[in-house]
Amino acid sequence: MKTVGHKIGNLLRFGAVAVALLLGQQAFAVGTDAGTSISNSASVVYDVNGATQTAVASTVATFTVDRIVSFTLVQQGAADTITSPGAFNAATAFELTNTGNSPLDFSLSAINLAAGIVVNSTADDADMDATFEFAVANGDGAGGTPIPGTDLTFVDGLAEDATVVIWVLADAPLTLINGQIANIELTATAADPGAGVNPAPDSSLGVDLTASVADGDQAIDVVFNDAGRDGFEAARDGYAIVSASLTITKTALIIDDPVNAVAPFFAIPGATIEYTINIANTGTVDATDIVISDTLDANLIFQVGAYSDAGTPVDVSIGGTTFCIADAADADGDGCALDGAILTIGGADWTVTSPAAPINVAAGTNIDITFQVVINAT
Amino acid sequence: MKILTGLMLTMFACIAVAQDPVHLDVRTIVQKEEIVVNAAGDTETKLVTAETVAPGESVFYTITFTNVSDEVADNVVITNPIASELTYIDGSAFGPGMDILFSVDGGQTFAAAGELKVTEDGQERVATASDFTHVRWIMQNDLQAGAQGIARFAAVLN
Repeated sequence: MKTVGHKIGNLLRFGAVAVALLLGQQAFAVGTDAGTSISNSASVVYDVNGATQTAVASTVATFTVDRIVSFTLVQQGAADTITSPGAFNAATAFELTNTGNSPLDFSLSAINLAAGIVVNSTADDADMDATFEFAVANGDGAGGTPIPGTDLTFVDGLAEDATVVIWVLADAPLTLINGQIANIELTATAADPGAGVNPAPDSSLGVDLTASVADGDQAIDVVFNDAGRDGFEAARDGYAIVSASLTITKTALIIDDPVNAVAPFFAIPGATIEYTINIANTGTVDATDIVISDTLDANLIFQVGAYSDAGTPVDVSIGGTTFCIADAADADGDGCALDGAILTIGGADWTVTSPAAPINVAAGTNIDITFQVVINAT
Repeated sequence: MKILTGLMLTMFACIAVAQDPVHLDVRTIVQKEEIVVNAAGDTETKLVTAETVAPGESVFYTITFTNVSDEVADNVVITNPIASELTYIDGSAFGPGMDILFSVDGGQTFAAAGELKVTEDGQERVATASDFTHVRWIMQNDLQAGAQGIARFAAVLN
C-alpha cells in the first residue's frame, strides 16, 4: 500500500474548510502553530439509582499540529535594475513571505540564467559576476535600500505572515557592453527554524526541511504546500547594462605653411598642423572623467599658446569653450600635461575650478579636442 | 489460579464500592482520513489514528463509554469541549439514541444547534458551527450494565 497526499486530499474534499474561511476564522494562510499539541477529553455525568455519580473523564486524545511549509518569493517591481560595466554590488530586490504555520529559516542561492531566457520582457545575453551576495533591506515591505554591511547568507526565523526584502548584490564585469541583459534567479529553500512551537530566530541556519512521507514520521510532520510542493521557491530578475560607448577619431588639418600665404597648405617642414580628436558617445549614459593620451611624433613640435582663452594664451581647446595649458607634469592642476612626447588631457589631475569640469561626454553627443603642432624644420 | 483471580476481583470490588464505584469506562480517540491505494490500484479512504495533523485537515473524535458495573446508569450526559484551535464541522456530531446540544459560552449553557445565538459587533445572530465551544450528548435511554455507547464529532484544524 502506498500513501498518497492524504493531507491535501482532506483539505480539498472537506467543504467545512471553506465554511471556516467564509466565517472569518483564524487566517488559513497561517493556521494553528506547528508543533502545538491539541488534547481532547470528554466528561460524562450519570445517575445510578437516582443518585448523581462522580463525573468520569475520558482518556485523553492528543495530536500534534503539522508544519505547513508555504511561502512565496517574488521580484520587487517588474523592471530590470540598470547598471554599468564594472559596477559593484548592483542591487535588485526580492520579497520573501512566509505563509505557513511556523517560522522558517531559508537558505539563499543565486545564479546567472542561460542566454535566451526572458525576464521582464528582455532576453538574457550576458552574465553578472557569478559571486552573488545578499543583503537585507532597511525595513521590510516595499521599498528600502540594502543596508551596507548586512551581508546575509540565510534568512533566520522568518515569522508567520512576515515578509523580508532580500537584495541580491552582483558585480558587473567590465566586459559587458551597452544594451546587454543579465538575467538572474534567486532561490530560497525552507529550512528548520528550530525546535518547539514558534521558535525564535537563533542566528543559525537549520537543515533543509523534507516532506514527511507518513503521519508521525517526524516530531513535527512537514507538509510542503508551496508552489510545486517542493520546499523551495525561485524568482527571477534582470540587470540591464547601460554603458557609454565611445568612438575616438583623430584627424589632421594643415592650417599654415611657411611658403604659401593662403590655402592650400602643404605638409612641409615648418607647416602648422591642427589635430582634432573627436570623442563621440553612442551609448545611453554619459561618459565622465575621460582621459586622452596622445604620443607625439618626434618630428612634431607641440605649439604652446595656439589658442586664446579671453586673451590668455592656452594650448589645448576642449570643444572650443574649455581650454587648458599643457605644462610639464601638470603643475597647474588643470588636467593637461605634456610630459616629454606624451600629451595627456583630462583626468584626475583636473583640480582647477575654471574650467570647472574634466572631460565629460553626454550620451549621444560628441566633443572635439584640438591642439596644434609644427613639423620640425631644423 | 482461577481462585486467586476471583479473590482479587472480589477484593477490588469491595474497595471500589467503598470509594464511590466507577461505573463507566470512557475513552476518546482522534483519527483523520487517509487516502490509500490498495493492491488493486484503487484509492480508498480510511480513518487512521491522528498523530500529527496539518491545518485545514479534519479530525474525527470518537468517544466510547461502557457501563462496566452491574448497575444501570441513567441520565448519562457526555460533554466534550472543542479545542480553540479546532472548528466544529456542522452536522458532524452523532450519537445513537442521544440528543445533541451545543454551547457557545464555554460550556455554561447548552441548547440545540439552531437555538443558540451570539452577539457580534452589537448584533445578535444565530450561532453557527464555528461558534460552538462544547458538544453535549444526552442519552435518551438508560445505559444498561455492560452496554456500550458511542458519540462522535468532527472538526477542522484551524
